[in-house]
Amino acid sequence: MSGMSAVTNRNSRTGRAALNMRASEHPSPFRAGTMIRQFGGSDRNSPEAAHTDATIPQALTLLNGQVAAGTENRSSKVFEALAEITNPEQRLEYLFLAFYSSRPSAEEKKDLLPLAKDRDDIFTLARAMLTSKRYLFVQ
Amino acid sequence: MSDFNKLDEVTRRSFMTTAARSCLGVTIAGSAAELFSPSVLAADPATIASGGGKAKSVIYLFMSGGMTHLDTFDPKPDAPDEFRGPTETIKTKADGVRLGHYMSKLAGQADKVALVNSMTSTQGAHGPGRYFMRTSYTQRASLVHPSNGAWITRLKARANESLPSFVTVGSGNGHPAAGFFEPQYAPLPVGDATAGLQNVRRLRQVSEDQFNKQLALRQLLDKQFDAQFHKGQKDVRAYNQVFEEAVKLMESKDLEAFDLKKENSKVHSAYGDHNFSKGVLLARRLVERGVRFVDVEFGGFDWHNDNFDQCEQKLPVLDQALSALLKDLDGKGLLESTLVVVATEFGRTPKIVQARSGRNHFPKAFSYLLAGGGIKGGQVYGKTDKTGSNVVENPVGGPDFNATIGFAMGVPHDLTLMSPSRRPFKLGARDGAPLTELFG
Repeated sequence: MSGMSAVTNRNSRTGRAALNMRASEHPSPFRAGTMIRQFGGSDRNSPEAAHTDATIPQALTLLNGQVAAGTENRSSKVFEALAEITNPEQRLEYLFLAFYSSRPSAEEKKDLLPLAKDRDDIFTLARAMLTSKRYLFVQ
Repeated sequence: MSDFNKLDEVTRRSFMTTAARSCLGVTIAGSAAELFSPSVLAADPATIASGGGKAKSVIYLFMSGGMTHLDTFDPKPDAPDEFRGPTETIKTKADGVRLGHYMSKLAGQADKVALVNSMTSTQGAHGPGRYFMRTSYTQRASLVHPSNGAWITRLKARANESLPSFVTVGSGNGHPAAGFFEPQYAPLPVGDATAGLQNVRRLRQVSEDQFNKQLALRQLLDKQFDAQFHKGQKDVRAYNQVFEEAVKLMESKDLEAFDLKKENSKVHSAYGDHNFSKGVLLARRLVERGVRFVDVEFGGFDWHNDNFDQCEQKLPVLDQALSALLKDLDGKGLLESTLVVVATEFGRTPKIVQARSGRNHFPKAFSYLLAGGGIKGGQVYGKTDKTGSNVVENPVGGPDFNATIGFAMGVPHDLTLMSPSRRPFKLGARDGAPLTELFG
């Protein structure tokens, strides 16, 4: 990856931690306002400083942030895969497998297939899937 | 089954609301209290008569780490040197109010402030201390209590439809936030005041049409999940709430409140360059637009070592930002309706630890500051002894102080609300009593 210093793993051009780095590779302690802190990560300065609450800045990041933009980014795997697959049904199945590790149900296929046929709509669907509650672990 | 029970929920609720208001007054214990919307809980006439209910917003400045009281609001010029250190006492604009010499700008605003020099607590560790002062309850394993900001949000109707009622600036992740209250009372956390709110605009490549489609799709995708888990899981309910609020915020015409670049350079230099100073400026912008409670945290007050060097470095930042805030609010005619608080988790040992030139944790006696919101300025409430080691007059606990905030905002500090596990809690805890003498 260009511009990455091996020691600090910080993008040397922007000085920002890149999105596809592990948490352990981000500059530590995590500053307020950075992604890990925002999503509840401990500041690594005081004990028991992590949380699992939903907050508005998290929702804003999921709606409008780098991750949402990443689906449509030409260098992202999602974009590559969707560009390769031409069959709408297979596209839908790809998204569900990639994001949810499950296949769409018959009802979901019926509702979402029309979207899989349109170039803009499929990315809207991808962004919507990223903001779904299905990632919540309910015990 | 009586005819009454056959009525639909809304009609039954409004009947009880009217009946309760006329027969039972404001203090209703138990789950009945949760039926009442904040607008129904108008300020008690007795509160208004004693000078409360004047504040519409609170700016709560929290000095995290335990701010020394002897070097700031409760200086002891007659104490022996091993308590005083190099701190000098200065007179202020108000007779009877004295400050440590690091707070020279505040001295010129002393006619607006009330010092409470008799704060006392039993929580001498940082986490439990901060928690106790913010929630009025000691930390326990069974649940998280709501912070004072969440209580105010719960008990007072929203003043701005698109901005959240409760905002925290620069607070650590350990903030109790909404505690066991529903997620709509949770604060909006702003990490860095100068960075503002990130990701608040739609992505460039996404049209408004596509964005609305995306929101509708989210609902569709979650239909089954919601049907299964919505009622039983607070976390699941929080998601919907949070996304709704986020979208409202994106469309809000008051978004520019978070953009500090809209203030000219004179204002910026008046408040100061520190991140905390920017946080205080942000707080002013937010209360201008009706945000009810802004909790701005300033870290690094844990001066076990080099207490006096750190006084020289850090206290002027607080001094400048606080004085600028008071002058600014006064100039805009907002001081009467904005309660400003300087809080901390505990004080610091009066007897200096000579080897480290520092002070250790000291919850037995410490000081808070109040200004605006109907407070009579230029007064000192409560007293400590000659060396600031014991409270000798009018001790004030965390619950009393939070009850005072409630009093200023015209909300009932003794209204019992139940946690999901059916345990009763209040803003002022079991017996917190507001300091009504502070109000004019």
